[in-house]
Amino acid sequence: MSSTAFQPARPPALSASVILQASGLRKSFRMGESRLEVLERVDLAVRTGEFVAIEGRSGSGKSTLLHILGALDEYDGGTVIFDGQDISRLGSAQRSALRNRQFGFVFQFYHLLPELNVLENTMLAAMIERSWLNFHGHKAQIKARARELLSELGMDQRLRHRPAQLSGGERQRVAIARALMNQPRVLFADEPTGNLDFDTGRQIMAVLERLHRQGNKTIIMVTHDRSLASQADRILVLQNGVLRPAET
Amino acid sequence: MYKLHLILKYLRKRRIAWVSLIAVMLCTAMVLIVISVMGGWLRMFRQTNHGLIGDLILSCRSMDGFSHYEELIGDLRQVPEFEAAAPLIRTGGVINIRNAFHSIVQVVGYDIKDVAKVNNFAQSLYWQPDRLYAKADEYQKQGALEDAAALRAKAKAFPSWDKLFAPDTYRDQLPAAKMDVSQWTGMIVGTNLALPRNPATGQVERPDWVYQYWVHLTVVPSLERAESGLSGSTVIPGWMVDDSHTKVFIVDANTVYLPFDVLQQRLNMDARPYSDKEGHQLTIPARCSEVEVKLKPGSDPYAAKPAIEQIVAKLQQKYPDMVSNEYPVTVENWDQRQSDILEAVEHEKMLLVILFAIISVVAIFLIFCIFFMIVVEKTRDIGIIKSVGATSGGVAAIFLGYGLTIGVIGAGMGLLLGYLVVHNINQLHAWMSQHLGVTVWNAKTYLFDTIPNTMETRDVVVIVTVAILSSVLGAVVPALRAARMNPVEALRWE
Repeated sequence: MSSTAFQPARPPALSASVILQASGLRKSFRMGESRLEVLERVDLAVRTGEFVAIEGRSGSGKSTLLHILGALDEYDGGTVIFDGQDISRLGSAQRSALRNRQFGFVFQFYHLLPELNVLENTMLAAMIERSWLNFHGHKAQIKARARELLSELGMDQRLRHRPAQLSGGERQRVAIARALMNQPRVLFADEPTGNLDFDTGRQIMAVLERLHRQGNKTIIMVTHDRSLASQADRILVLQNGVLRPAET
Repeated sequence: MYKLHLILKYLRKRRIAWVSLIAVMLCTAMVLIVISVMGGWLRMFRQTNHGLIGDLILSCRSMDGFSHYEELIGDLRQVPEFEAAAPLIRTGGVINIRNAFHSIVQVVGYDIKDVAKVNNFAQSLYWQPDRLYAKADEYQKQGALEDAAALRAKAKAFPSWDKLFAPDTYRDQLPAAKMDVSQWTGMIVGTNLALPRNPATGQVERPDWVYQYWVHLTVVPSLERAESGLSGSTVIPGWMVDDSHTKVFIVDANTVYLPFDVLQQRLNMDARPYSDKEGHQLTIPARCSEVEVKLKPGSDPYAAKPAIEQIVAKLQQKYPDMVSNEYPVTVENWDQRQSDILEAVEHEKMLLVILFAIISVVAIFLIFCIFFMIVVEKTRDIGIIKSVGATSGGVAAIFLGYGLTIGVIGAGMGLLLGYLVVHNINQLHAWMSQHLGVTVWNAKTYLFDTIPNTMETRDVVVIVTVAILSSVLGAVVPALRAARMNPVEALRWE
């Protein structure tokens, strides 16, 4: 299996600079009359090329934290700085562009579009990034990139299949390929193996690990499984709305 | 790029979208068919009625009509818009065709050459010159040289009251008559009045012998002008020489036309000498019921009307006896003459517009419901697309574009369906009548014996545009809902 598709778009920083930083992050949800404080004061700094696992029990707010870091969700207080830029100050379109070009998401439930086949799902980020004319001008390159990614993930025989025709592990591989399509600088993985059996989960984790080791990809993964979290460079635990290093 | 791609994918894969597509198609086709048929009927009604009576009509309500019409027509030539005018007499009568058919009819006396310049009567005749020449050739081949010559003479004189066949043909019809019946006048009857019809198809048939029918027309002359002082009916004998198909069912079903001078004379409306009390020899001027005026092409009858009214008023001042009682000569535009029917027709048109508006609202609501369902069903997809970087505007554009695509395809299919139905509507109607026993179009009700089968470009453009806009409008609220969706909430949607 070649690893060219997993090569980073830009060479990794020589010094391990902070790419994503959260300070004093707060988030609460209204629960009828009362408010539930999910994130009370979260501080986090992720360095370029780092693989960080955020561990926590179900309902601890780890997915919420991931969504906030990935500019998918709003927060009540604190700051999130990506590459020196406060994302709370960005407009809706700029946040969309950030999700499209700088971030990649892998979800527990894969979240593939059922009407699109494997190749089309993989190319989705590139299709969103480009105009009709631009896409058709670079169609061959974009397709080649998508095929290469899918080939790296062992999905090159399933290009025309639709998600309903794939197993859980195959769907997650396609989701990873889609997340990597625009060569994001940060990959967010939300319980990537949560819906898979043990062996398939290990295969997916192996893919993420390879991305990190060979591609120097910055990965932030949330999980409730300590054995999976232990494959990361650093493990943080989210408990009672506060993030702290895991006890070894 | 992804918007177009997703629109096309959703269109192909989401069967529910086909329901809205079919709804748009059916609504478009239905409105096109209704507007084309009813709008076509309105246009046909106006054109045909206009064609029947020229641009302006000068008439008086008296049965005796008015005099000095020849001088009046001469004076009308001063009006710049004037092109031609023809006097005519309109009265009632009873027709007897060969003792086989009797009916109360409207009797119209035309100077056929003059009237051909004023209205479309000549075009309504069945025996047009090309048909007459073809029939003449047929008779020539059969050796009926005199009949062939009569047919050619009629073709040459078109339009005329001449009989179709040689005089002997007519003499043979009534051998016991003690007069030269071949000298009886020619009469033209409405196509639907007495012509035989094929029992299977209902189509009019015109065997040659139909044009050898004798006709007796009973009319009532003017009482005031009768020499005896008593008014008695008078019978005008004649031959059926042609039939007129104006396409207005009621006109074609109850009108008989004959030469102006024949009717004028039999109604005592011709010029007559008389002596006054001092023994001076004078002439009672000839009279007519109406004068129809044709204006130059492009002229506005309403603009020409005041000048014509002035001429009529001057002449009435000059000849106080121009009208025989309190009814003056009035000038009407063709549409004023038909105002009762035209107003009803205009109301019908308004009803159609309201109907169209209701159909559009129903279509918009239908599309709104379907799109709302699609957006709800696609909530998670919206979250996915947004998580991969789609903007709110992009998501809205997907659903608006989806509505637009459904509108364009649905309206296009509706246009095709509407076109096929409208252009074959008479054949479809005939098939329905024959096989299902369903007759929707009754000529007696709708005045015309064929259903209008043409589409107006303007109507098509308006209907198709409204259909497309309705589809987009139906998608607006669901599209906005999709655009405003929080991506995280959308991803968690179940």
